[in-house]
Formats: sequence, structure tokens, C-alpha cells
Amino acid sequence: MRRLVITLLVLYGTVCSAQTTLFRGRVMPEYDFSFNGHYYWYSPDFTYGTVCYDGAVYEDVPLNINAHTQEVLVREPPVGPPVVLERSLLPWLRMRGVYYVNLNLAGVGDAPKGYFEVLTDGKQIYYFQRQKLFARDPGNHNGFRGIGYEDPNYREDIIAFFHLKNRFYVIRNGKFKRVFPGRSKQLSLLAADLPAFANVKTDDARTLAGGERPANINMLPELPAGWFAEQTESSAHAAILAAIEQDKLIANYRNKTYEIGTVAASSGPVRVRGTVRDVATGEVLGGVLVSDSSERIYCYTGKDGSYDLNLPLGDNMLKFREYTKEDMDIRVIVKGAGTLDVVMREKVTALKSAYITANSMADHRRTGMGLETINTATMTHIPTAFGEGDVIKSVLTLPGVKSVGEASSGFNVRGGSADQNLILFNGGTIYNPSHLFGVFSAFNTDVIDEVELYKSSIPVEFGGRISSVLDIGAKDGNPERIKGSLGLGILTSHLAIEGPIIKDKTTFVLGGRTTYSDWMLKQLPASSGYAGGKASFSDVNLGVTHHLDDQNSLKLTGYWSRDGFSFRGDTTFRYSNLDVAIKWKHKWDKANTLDVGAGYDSYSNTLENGSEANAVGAYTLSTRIQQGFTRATAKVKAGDHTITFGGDAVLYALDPGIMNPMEGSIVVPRRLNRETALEPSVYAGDVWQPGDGPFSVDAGVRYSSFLTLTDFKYYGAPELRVGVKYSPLPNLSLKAGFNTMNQYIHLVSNTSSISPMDTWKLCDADIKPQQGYQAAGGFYWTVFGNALDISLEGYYKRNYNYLDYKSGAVLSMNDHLADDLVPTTGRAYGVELMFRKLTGRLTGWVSYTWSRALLKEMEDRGPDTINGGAWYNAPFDKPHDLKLVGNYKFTHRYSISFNLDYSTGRPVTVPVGRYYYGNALRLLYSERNAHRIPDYFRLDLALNIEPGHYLKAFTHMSATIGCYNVTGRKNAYSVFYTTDGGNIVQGYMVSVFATQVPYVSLNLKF
Amino acid sequence: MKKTICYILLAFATCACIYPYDAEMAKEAPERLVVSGDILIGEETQIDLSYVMPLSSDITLERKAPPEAVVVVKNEKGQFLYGKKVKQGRYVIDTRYASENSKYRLYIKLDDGREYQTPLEEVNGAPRITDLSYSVDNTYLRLYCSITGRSSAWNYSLEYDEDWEYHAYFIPDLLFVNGGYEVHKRFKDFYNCWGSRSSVEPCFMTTEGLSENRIERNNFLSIPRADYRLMDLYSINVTVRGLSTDARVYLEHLRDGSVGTGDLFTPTPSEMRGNITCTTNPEEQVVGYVSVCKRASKRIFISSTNVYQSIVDPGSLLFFPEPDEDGNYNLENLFLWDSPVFFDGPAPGYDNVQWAPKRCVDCRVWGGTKNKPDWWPNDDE
Repeated sequence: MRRLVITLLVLYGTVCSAQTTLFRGRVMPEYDFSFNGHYYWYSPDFTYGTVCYDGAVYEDVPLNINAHTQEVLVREPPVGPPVVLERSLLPWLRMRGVYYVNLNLAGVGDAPKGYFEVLTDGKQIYYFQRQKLFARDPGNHNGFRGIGYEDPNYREDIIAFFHLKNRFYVIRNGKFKRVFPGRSKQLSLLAADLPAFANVKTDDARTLAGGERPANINMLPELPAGWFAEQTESSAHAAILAAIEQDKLIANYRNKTYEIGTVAASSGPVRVRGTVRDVATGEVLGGVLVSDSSERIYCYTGKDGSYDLNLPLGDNMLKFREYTKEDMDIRVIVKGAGTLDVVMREKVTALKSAYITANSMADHRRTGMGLETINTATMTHIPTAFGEGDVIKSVLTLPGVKSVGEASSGFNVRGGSADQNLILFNGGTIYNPSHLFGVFSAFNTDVIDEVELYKSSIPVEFGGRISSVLDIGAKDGNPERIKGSLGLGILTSHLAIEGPIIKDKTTFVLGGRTTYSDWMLKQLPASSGYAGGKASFSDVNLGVTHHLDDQNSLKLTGYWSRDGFSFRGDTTFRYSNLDVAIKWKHKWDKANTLDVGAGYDSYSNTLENGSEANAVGAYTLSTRIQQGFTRATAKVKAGDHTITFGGDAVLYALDPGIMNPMEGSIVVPRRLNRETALEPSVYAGDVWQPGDGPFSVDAGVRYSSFLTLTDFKYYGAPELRVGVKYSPLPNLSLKAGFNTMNQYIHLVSNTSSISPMDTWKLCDADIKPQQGYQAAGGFYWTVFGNALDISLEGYYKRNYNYLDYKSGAVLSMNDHLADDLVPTTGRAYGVELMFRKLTGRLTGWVSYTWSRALLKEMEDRGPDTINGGAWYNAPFDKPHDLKLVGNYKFTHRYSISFNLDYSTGRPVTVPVGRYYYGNALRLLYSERNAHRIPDYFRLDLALNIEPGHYLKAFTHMSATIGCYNVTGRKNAYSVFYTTDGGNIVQGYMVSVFATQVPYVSLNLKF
Repeated sequence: MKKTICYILLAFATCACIYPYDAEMAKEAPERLVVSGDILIGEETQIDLSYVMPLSSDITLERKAPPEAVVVVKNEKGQFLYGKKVKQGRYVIDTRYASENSKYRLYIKLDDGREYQTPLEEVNGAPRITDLSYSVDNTYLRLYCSITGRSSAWNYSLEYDEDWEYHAYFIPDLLFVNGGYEVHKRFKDFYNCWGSRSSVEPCFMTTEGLSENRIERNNFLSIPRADYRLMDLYSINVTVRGLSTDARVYLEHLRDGSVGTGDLFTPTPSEMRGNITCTTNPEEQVVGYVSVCKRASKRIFISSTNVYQSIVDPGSLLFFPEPDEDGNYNLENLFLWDSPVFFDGPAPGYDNVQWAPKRCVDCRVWGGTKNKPDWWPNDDE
């Protein structure tokens, strides 16, 4: 056998020896890109041609040009690997009758590197260069999931994104200039002779295949050294990766070992830092879990994509995990402190749906409980009523999050009311998160980076609401190029553009959204009954990020939205959000940061009530809340401790009611006293992870205070945030947490859903702050090779001074609002069981929640006390809640998403008796919320079509075809009873989406 | 096509729907006394006492009322006026001559010993109805009322009583009676009728927040111009009373709980406490709000000229039955047509027969009566 091998090698060497001078060089790696394109100039087939190399001309050589690296390849014999010729030795070659010249060697110094076809139109010489640049790494599929074996989609998974550039140049007045001939002109160009200046003098001409062999070619008895030189990353991919990130070391191969740092001064752990980026876009990736092989040393990348770990010296494995990206494991030899930048690519083998990610293993590393993260891919794939990705609707698919009904504004988290959720958009507070009275949420998913919902363990830097925090961040603009997206739906359209303003310094992202429902209503004839109606909204987002240097960056964000609707001619509702914020981020390193921000938020609503028939009584009624805020948060890592501390302050100015007459009206202008207050807070917290031990503690305290500037009433209280975690196994964790919170602003409402005319009320001498605490425990188990997460969480909450209203309360323009309100205490408890599958063709989760939310009036008002002072159901109390969200991917391009939602009907107050009063029949109502509407059930389906891999295309279109409420069930939003002015008592049910709602949504990216 | 697309899109956009909801209704109702009526200074006061009935009870049943009660209007000096029981649960008190400068309260004592009373309240003076007018557009007759209040009352309720005269479409010559026919000679018995109706839902108004205590051209009622009430002569009498703010809020709350639309922003219904308390058991809840007030009224008449728009009633189309082989008309078939009435034509012995349904020739079928009000201004019979 050995002899046979030697014989073959000798034979092979004999055949090849004549070409060794020419063929010595690096070996070109080969990949099967036939379905996605290839590296080569025109065709992957090698063509016999002539090449001038190292002072000699070789004829009948199988040649090709790598258009990506701008290198000439030769292949001999035909089954052998292609060899790269050194460009500095190659002035020209000729294939298919066309000359290709290396103009750098010809003295055209300002020409780009590489080769140019020499063409002519009969008048002048054109130089044509074809370039293929990667926007995306081809990746490595030779590891655990071998090509063609375990991954049936391997052909689709090996994606190389080529940006094809065809450029024409001429030499004019001694300068090399780019020209732009038209298409017909390009086609008319013919091959030209080799320019005289490129015809580098050669020593001799050599014929290799069948020709006369030059005498000076050395005949080597064996293969030259380096013929089968081991392929290395630096040779094969440095250029590829350089196209993405020129100046940094990018680790993107999982089967290579990287050395980090030099010899360390000490033997202890050393700091390893770096930045994680998306390979396709170059954007930094936040929220990526970076851990060592033991998964006990870990961190998450910040929003700037940076990570920072203390790793022990020696061999290690760095793991990079982000749900929408392919897992990345990199072998490293840590010799000292250093950096390792990494690119990750979008996961194409796993499903893109579902997609609400609280990363599975993250639950085992994070001490806190109840954090859910949503990315835009998630939002765009969950079926919604009109096909538009929706933040709030996505949040509602999570366990423990409920709403009082479809198309209602706001949401309820673990038995909390809608106003007990702090909704932050770029740090600014959003008081009304909906458009069109709740059909759409107020956020444009085109500009959103990530959404985080804290429903249990709330970090110390957040405060002001007692139930949850929904933190929505806008993404930074693309640093590489101008990009955009356009979405068309049945009722709305949205557009976003992003890109660099100053290369590598400043980026922007601009988005807008609007609806044409107003236009539609105007088209309707009067007989439709909606002809006089109006309903419209729009919003605009702007974000500008400026990197002052490696350690400092500024981010300016702005958000504006407005809504207006009227279905009766005499009443029009309008409301508007405005948020402006600026944030300075200073980063000593990954673990030590300082964030300082300030901003201004405004929310206003207006009711216009007037008609010709009642011109004298026509008026406008407005409320408005404005707030300025500033906050500073520092994070410091010291040993096993990660310390967070800082402070914030909010200055409120609230106009609870402004009434003005309309033209011709005799309404007296009236304005309720403006409420002003200051809410300063300081906080400090520590996450203590002792070594690699199974225990960790996250403890902190926040001291919040509130000072009214009108009557100088002061409230203040410490808030505790404590969480502990015990992980006996890497995939098994037990957690417990306890939080206390204070809230100094109330939403005053007597409707089940947030209404445009609901008013906010600051605490004062009569209205006390809402206070609450939550105790929670959880069990987290990841099984089947991280394929399935099982979690069980339980909680018990209490809150005090939540405002309910007295029967017949007047909530608008009421100088003595406190007299019509009653403080209540609430208690909520429940368990949430969740199974989540994140890998495979089928992904998604199923969750079941059993919970209760009850209220009780805190004061005894005798017979007027609500329900006699007993506990009664909160309007959002829905004990049983089952959710199933999933996606099944048929191919890389086609998948279906489904969403099933079942819950107990919400509590309502219904009539239990009737009587005559005057001439009319009247109804006597039950105790508050003593009955329930019918249970809720809904199934949604959607077919998602992702863009094809026509990677040269300027635009990529995706489409979603779906149906909301497939079964057409008439789910009750509310029930009511009426006598219709007669003697019959009839019950009615309001159903918001009482039928199937099909939709088509088109999204165009460019 | 454009409209079709818009309708489809709108259907998606506004597919909110309201459906009848037949939930099981409570068979038991809390025993709660209902006191309905106001103390009306300057006229007779009518107080109705009843109990709340179960929602599932037969609507045709008589109202359940306390069998016996003492109903009294007292003033701040302890003087009182007794109520007279006129039927089960209804008491009338003669407050025609009560002073409008006193304070009054209602006192009730049931035969089981329970006592109820309202707080002493001043008289809400009657506003002045400065204008009662109407306008006509293509479709509707719209009625407007303008009110100027007195300083003591900034809240008002408006009620009205309608009366109208109308007529049948045809005057019959023959009547089909008991399988035969007879010559009809008393067509006036069926041709002119009078109807009346009172408003069910009061219209509440307030001038709170206005610079003047007046309501200007409040459109409180609109009637389609083809409505038969406008056929001959229409009259409406508007009555306005002053209310306290608490009374108006309470009554609006009662109304909204019974005629609510159930839309997304409708306040959650609830029970509200009125101004009647049980003095023998303060925990007992009582339904009702008894105000002390004076009323003002105004009446107008509206002729059909330029107001009424006659439309063709399908029932007025004439029917000509085919004669049988012998040339006789099969009159028995006419029984299929709600007691047909002959008119304008021959029966057997006549050359032609034309007939019409009863509703076209008998005005009483439309609910009216021959009871012409004494004050009715024309001479029709």
C-alpha cells in the first residue's frame, strides 16, 4: 500500500514537475457555491490560456481569476487543487482571447489592485474590472453538523453573499478614471490588444502542455514543499473577513484555535475582551451570551456589542450564544489579556419564528427572574390582526401577560393594572402605547432593536411603576451603508432608512408609519354610516448615534406620534406622544461603564365636542402630562461583584384638565390647577457570583422619593430588590426573588381599557402613592441537549393605594377628584408553567398560567363600600390562560406560524334585576365584577415567505399571508344589557374581531 | 369597484360587531325598594313605590309594590302633606299650593315598619322655555328647545308628550263582516284617529361650565318626515324641570346603565346611591332620587303642510280578485287578508270591487284611538 502511494506521488510529481515554478503557491480552498454563485470572474470552469508570470510567458495553462481576491489561479492537472499565483509577479494573462492586465505592475499606480479586462470600442481602451465582495461569511459546516449528513438544508445554509461590482475605467490625461458606459456600450466593447505599457518584457516563452519545455525549468523529483500546505485561516479567509472588518481580528471559525495575548504577568485570570458583530451587516450585536466551556464564567454583550470576561490561562472554549444567530464555539489559548472580535451570522437552520427568546441557558446564568426578551424577528412573525409586527401583541403572548380584551390599549402583568407598567422607549416614558384605540401598538418595529420585559426581578435602575418594566430600545443605524425597509399592509405602511452619516463615527436611523384608514372612511358613501368618521395615526422615529472615540458615544433619539379618530360627527379624540432623549455612554471597558442621559416626554389628549346643533355648548377638553428626566448609572466590576449605582430624577408638570370654548360657544374657559412634582431616586445594587459556585445573589436598594411642588407633600420609601439563584447543575436552576416598588402617578379610569380620555393624577396630600411587593420563586430545567426549556414560576403580589372609582364618579374636569376615588388594596398570585423549544424545524412554546387578581377597598364607607368591603375580582383577573406560539419551517424560505390563545373570560358587572323608574325600565347591577364574559379562544395562522437568495438584487421582499382568528370565533370583548327604551331586557356581546381577518403584509428591504 | 374595495377593507378594519347575548339571567333579585318621582311644587306630586324584580321574571307581571305605605311630603317646619293611594304602589300628594320658598323632603313608612326619607331640599326653580321650534330638512323634522335657567338650577331634565292626528288611506263603502258584507255608512269611525305618547328617556342638560345659564336650540327630538305622526296635525308639549347636580348625575347614571352601547370606552356599569335612606336600617340600599322642583312646559302644533312626506304604503295597493266561472267573486279568500274592507266598488250586485287591507282603511289599526283631546284645535271627528 505504501509503495502504491509512493508510486502515485512520484507519478503525480513527474507530471507536475514541469510546472512547479508556476504552480508553487498557496492552495485555493474550494467550496461548492454553484447554487449561490462562485468566486470566479465569469465561470468556475478553468480555461486554457496564456499567462505572463515572473518574467516568463506560459501558454495553454488552465486559468481562472478569483474575482473576490483578485488573484489568478491555475489548475494542473485538472483534478488538482487550484494554485494561487502571486499577483506581484503576474503583469498580464490572456483567456478566451481577452487580455487581463495587472495595472499596478504596469505603472498605473492609482488603479485598484487586481486585474482588468482590456476592451475597446474602436476609439479608446477600456479597462473592466469585476469584483465580488463578500458581505457574509460562508461559515463552517464541517463540525458537529456535517454538510449533507445531519443538515438537510446544507445547500441553503452555505450562504455566501456576493456584492458584484462591474467597473469600467479609462486612462485619460495620464489619470486612471472610472467611467460609466451604458449597457449597449458595454455590450459593444471588444477585446483589445495588450497595451504597450502593460506588455512587460519577458525572459522567454514557455509552453507547458504539449509544447516545448523551456530548458531552464527545474525538474524536481518530488513534490515541492508547500504543495499540499495545510490550509490556514489566515490564507483562506483573511481577505474574506477583511471585507467585513478590515482592521480587526475576526474569529469566525469554530475549528481553529486562537491565541489570545502574550505571556501573562500573573498566573491568575486575565481579561479577554472583544466585540461581537453581525457578519452580514457589520452591526454590533447586543445581548449575546459569551461564556467559557464550563458556562460558569459568562457575560452578555452590551448594546455596543462588547464583552469582557476574566478567563483563566490556558486552553478554553469560548461560547457565543444568541438565539437568532448560529452558535459559535471558539477554541482559545489564553496566554494573557487580549482581545478577540467575533462575527456571528444569522441562524438559517433554525426557525425564525417564535422567537421570543429568553435564551434557554440564560435562565441558568441570570440571577433575576421574569425577564423576557423580544427581538424584531419575533415580532414580525407572530400573527397579528393586520399583519404588522407589534410590540404589545408580542408581549401578550408571554405567560403572565394579559389584556382585558382584543384591541385594548395596554397590558396587565401578573395581576397588575395597565398603569402599573413602566413603558420606556429609548429611556422616555410612553403613556399611551397604542394607535387606533389599541388595534396597533405605538412602536415601529423597523427601528426597534430589542424589547425587554421585566415582570418579576426589576433592576434597581428602574422604578416608578409597581408591576413591570417594558424597556424598548431603538437600534443604531447601519455603519456600513444606507439601508432601508418598506412595509405595506392592509391598513398601514411603514418606512425606515438607516446608515452612516460620518463613516465609522455617526449613524442614523429614521422611521415613519402611517395609516390610510382616514382616506378609506372618506371614500365611503353616506349610507354606510361611517362616512363622517375619521381615524388616523402616524408616528416618526429618529435616532442618531455618534462615537466620539472608542470609549465615548452619544445617542440622540426622538419619537413623535399622533392619533385622531371620530366616528360621530360631533366628537373627536386626539392624543399625541412626544419623547426626546440624549444619552452619553462612557466605557472604561466592558465591565466598567457610565451611562448619563436626559430627556423630555409629553403626552396629551384632546376631546373636541361640538356640532352645529349645539354650537353654544361646543368645547375642547385637554389633558397633558410633561416630564423632564435625567439619570446616571454606573456599572463597576470588582472581583466577583458587579456593582450598579446611580440616580435619576423626574420633574412632572401635569395639566389634569383644560376646557376651552369652540367658536360661537358660551362655554366658560376653565383650567384645573397644574400639578407639579419632583421624583428623585438613588440606587445601588450588586450581583455577587462567588467564583464558579452554584450560588449567586443579586441584591439592591432603591430609595425613591416624591415631592409635590404645589403643596410640598413629601413621600419617600426604600425599595428592596433581592434575588438568589442556586444552580446545582448547569442546566438546572432554582431561584427566588423579592421586590418592593413605589409608584407616584395614577391612571384614573372607569373603563376596562385605557381610554384616550383617561387622565393621569400625581400623588398629593389626598392621594397616596401606590406601593407593592412581589415574592417569587422559580424552577428552570433545560433538557434534551438544550433543546427544551421547562420553567415553573410562582408569585405572590400585594399592592396598596390602587385607585378605583366610586359609582357615578366624575373623572373629568373634577376639582375634587379624590372625593370620587377610593384607594384599594390588591393581591395577585399565580403559577406559570412553560415549555419552550428553540431548535429544530418546529420551535415555539406552550405556557399555562393559573393566577388570580383581586381588589378590596381599603376604607369602610358603610353601604357604599364596593362589594361591601369584600375582595372582588380585578377587571383583568383571568384565572386560566393557555398560550401556544410556534413556527414550523418547511424550507429556509417557507414557514408557517401559529398562535393559539385561550383564557378565562374577564370579570364584568351584569344586571341582576330590573325595575321601572319613571316611564322607563331600569336595570339593577350586581356587585362589581361578580360575573364573567365567555371564555376567550383564538387561533391565528400565517405563512411566511422569506426573500430568496438573489443576493445581487438591490431589494429583498418578504411576505406574510395570514389569518387572524381562523376559527372565526366571536370572542366577547364585553357584554352589556339594555332595555332599548322599551320593556325588553336584552343582553348583547361586543366582539372586536368577530370573524376571520385575513391579511397580506409585504416588506421590502433595500 | 373602488367602493367595493373600500367596503371590504373597512369590514376588516371595523369588524367589531354586536351580537345578542343570551346569558342565563338571575332568577333572584335583591329585595330593594324603588322610589320613583319628584316633589313637584305647583302641581300634584306622584310617587311610585315598587320593588326590584328578577331579570328573568315575566315582563307582563304587575309591578311588585308594598301593599300599604304612608307617603308624606314634609317641609322644614315639620308640616306635612299626606299622599293618597291611587293604585297599588302609586301615591299622589297635592303639592299644588306648597310654597316654593320652603324646603321639602319625602317621608315613607311601609306597613312592615321600615321608614325612609330624603334630605330637606330647596325647590329647584323652573327654568323658562324661551323657544320651542322646529326645522325641516330632506329627511327629518327636528325639534329644538331653548331654555333659560334661574340662578338656582343649572341642571335640567326635559320630557315631552306627543299628540297627533292622522287618517286612514281610504274611506270604505262596504265592510266585510262575519262572512258577509254590509254597506258602510260610518266611515268617520275609522278614518280620523288621534295618537299620543310620552317620552321614555328624559333628556338631561346642564349649563355648568357655561358663561350663561341657558340652553340654546337643543335638538331633543327628530322625526322622519314620512312618519304617520306628521300626517295631519302634530303637537308636542315639552316639560322641563330643574335638578341638582347630584340628581342629574344619578339619573344619567341610571339611564346609561340601561341604554349603554357597550363600546370599548363605556364606563363599567355600577350601582349608585341616591338620596333616599332607610332610617330604620341605614345599611339598606334604596333605589331612587327624589328632587324638589318646579316644572315649566310649552306646547306647539305642527301642521302637515310642507312637513309630511307621503310614501306609498304597499298595503294601499288595490287588489282585484278574479271572479270565478260564474262571475262571482270568491270573497272567502279575503279572509286571508287581515279582515278586508271593501270600498269603492260593487260587491255582488256591483260592477266592480276594489278592496284593501284593514290597516289602510281603519286608522285604529295603527294604535290610535278616536279619543280626541279636548284641547285639540281642529274639527275633525
